[in-house]
Amino acid sequence: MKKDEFYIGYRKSNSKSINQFIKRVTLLLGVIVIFIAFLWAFSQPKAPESKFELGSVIELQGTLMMAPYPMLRINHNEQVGKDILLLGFGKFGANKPLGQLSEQSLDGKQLKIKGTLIYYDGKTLFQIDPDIANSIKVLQHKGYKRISEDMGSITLEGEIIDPKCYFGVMKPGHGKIHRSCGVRCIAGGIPPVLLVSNSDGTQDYMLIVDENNEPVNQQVLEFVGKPVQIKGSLAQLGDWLILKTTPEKNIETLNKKSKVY
Amino acid sequence: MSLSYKMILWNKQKKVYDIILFVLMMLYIVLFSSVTFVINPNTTIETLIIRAFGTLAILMLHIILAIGPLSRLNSKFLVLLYNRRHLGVSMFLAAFIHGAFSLIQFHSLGNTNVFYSLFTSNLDYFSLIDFPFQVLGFFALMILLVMAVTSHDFWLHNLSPKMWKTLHMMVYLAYALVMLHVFLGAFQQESSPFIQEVLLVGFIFISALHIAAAIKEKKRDINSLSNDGWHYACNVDQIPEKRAFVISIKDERVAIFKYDGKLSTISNVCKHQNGPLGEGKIVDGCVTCPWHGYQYLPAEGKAPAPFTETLPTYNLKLEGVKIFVHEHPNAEGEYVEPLKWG
Repeated sequence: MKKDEFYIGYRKSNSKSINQFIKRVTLLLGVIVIFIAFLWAFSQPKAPESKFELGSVIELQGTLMMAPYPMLRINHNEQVGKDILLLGFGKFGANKPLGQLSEQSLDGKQLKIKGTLIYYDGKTLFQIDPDIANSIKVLQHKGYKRISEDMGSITLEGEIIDPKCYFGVMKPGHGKIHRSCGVRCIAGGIPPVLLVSNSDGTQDYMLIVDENNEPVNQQVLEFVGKPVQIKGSLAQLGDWLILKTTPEKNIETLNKKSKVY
Repeated sequence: MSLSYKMILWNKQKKVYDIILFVLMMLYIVLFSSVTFVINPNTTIETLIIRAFGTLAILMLHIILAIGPLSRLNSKFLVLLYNRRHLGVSMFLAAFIHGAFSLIQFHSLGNTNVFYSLFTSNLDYFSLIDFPFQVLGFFALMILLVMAVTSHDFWLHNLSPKMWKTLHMMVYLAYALVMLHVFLGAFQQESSPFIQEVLLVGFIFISALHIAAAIKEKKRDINSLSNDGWHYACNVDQIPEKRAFVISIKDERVAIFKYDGKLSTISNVCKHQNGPLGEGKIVDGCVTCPWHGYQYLPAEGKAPAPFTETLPTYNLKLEGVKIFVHEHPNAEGEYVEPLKWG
């Protein structure tokens, strides 16, 4: 551009040198856009292979176990089976849809349930289809009872997550980015889970309950998505570890970076 | 300049600007998405949309903030400034997609209203590390929304240029909120050095440009000395033909234009967006603003009919080749006989 060239945006045409400058700036911006798009796309952390089979509705048959959090026990034979954690639609636990179905307790009853699978790292969860009237059929009482095996007192460090997001619905489903969603999910009845990262790279997952085996959703909200230390006692209930604690006394936030991050 | 308000007064250059803008935005989204799906195939579509549009909005915000000082430092960049509002509205749309998807993803389908959830899910307002960063993004988006909605000249005239300018300077507050939103949010969890370094470089680049432009402006703003109300400005040969010399008199910038053997002086501040008229040029006998091409007759500070904008004029005198400007402005649009020289 010559020294005294002057750009007026509403004129039909520009001088050659102004057009050349526009071309050069466009080219530079194109290079910046390509460079930044590649750099930032490559810089993202790897998303886990967790799975939410959105759009695929299947039917499961099993025995409903209401306590401490609703699960469907599917027995393959007398010794082997799977405990599938049940969840409601959106950011709600399974108590809401199950409560809509019957005023009487469904605990221990054989059910057929339609819904969507969520699974990762050996754990399976199931979002009950929101069309409750047509998604659950109550069959006969099965009489199956799970036995809880106490494993003694323990102090653990980890992060409280909402399992629906962590095991498949969202990526990332943990940490600060996801905290507000985790709070919303757990406040809506989705069971709180303590995620513990082991030194060998594996993870353990524990459903958190109080000393009376009751849900603690509201008591743990302030700790969700942060590194915490929890003192309590551990038990094995079917496929799941159960961590019994008194949240008001035995959970504290740690001033360090979470290993999950 | 406009006699009636239309959504956008399209012209060829605006169309070219918008086509280039659209192509570059699409290029970013397509590249970011393609690379993500190839190297990170387990990413969910919602996360991809949130990230692609969030990072695009940040990149665009940096470009927008660079255009102003770049234009002050080098007038070539005025070609980017003319339609900067289109860039701003497009950046808001990218930020809005990021914000809307985040709000739906993290707060909808829950046991409370999404906005109540946004403000109350994380209550660590007194912690730096745990601060609810989404709230910062929300306020930044609200500022960008107000700016996008009021970007049209209808609002410029109804709010007054001064009020409008003040409102649109809030882009710097939005930028600060966006940077905090990112540093207290994503960076706390996904600390890729590349993202941090690029944003740090961006912040340094934007800051350096503004400082350099401010130094240049400051030099111009040294108030001239007065002798009985007359301020020496410059010599006649210091002003290029059809251009201006700007001096600061009692903190007001004044532009002295030289054209066709004459000298005239008007306020340096364009009535449209407070553009620097002294960096403009006499085109078709009119002082033409470098920002958006608004025009004024130099001897009377009036926009040519049928337009109605007016500016204060100033009296001039010549002593040899020395030009003096009187410190008292005349009424807006008051004719002053051009000073002839040579």
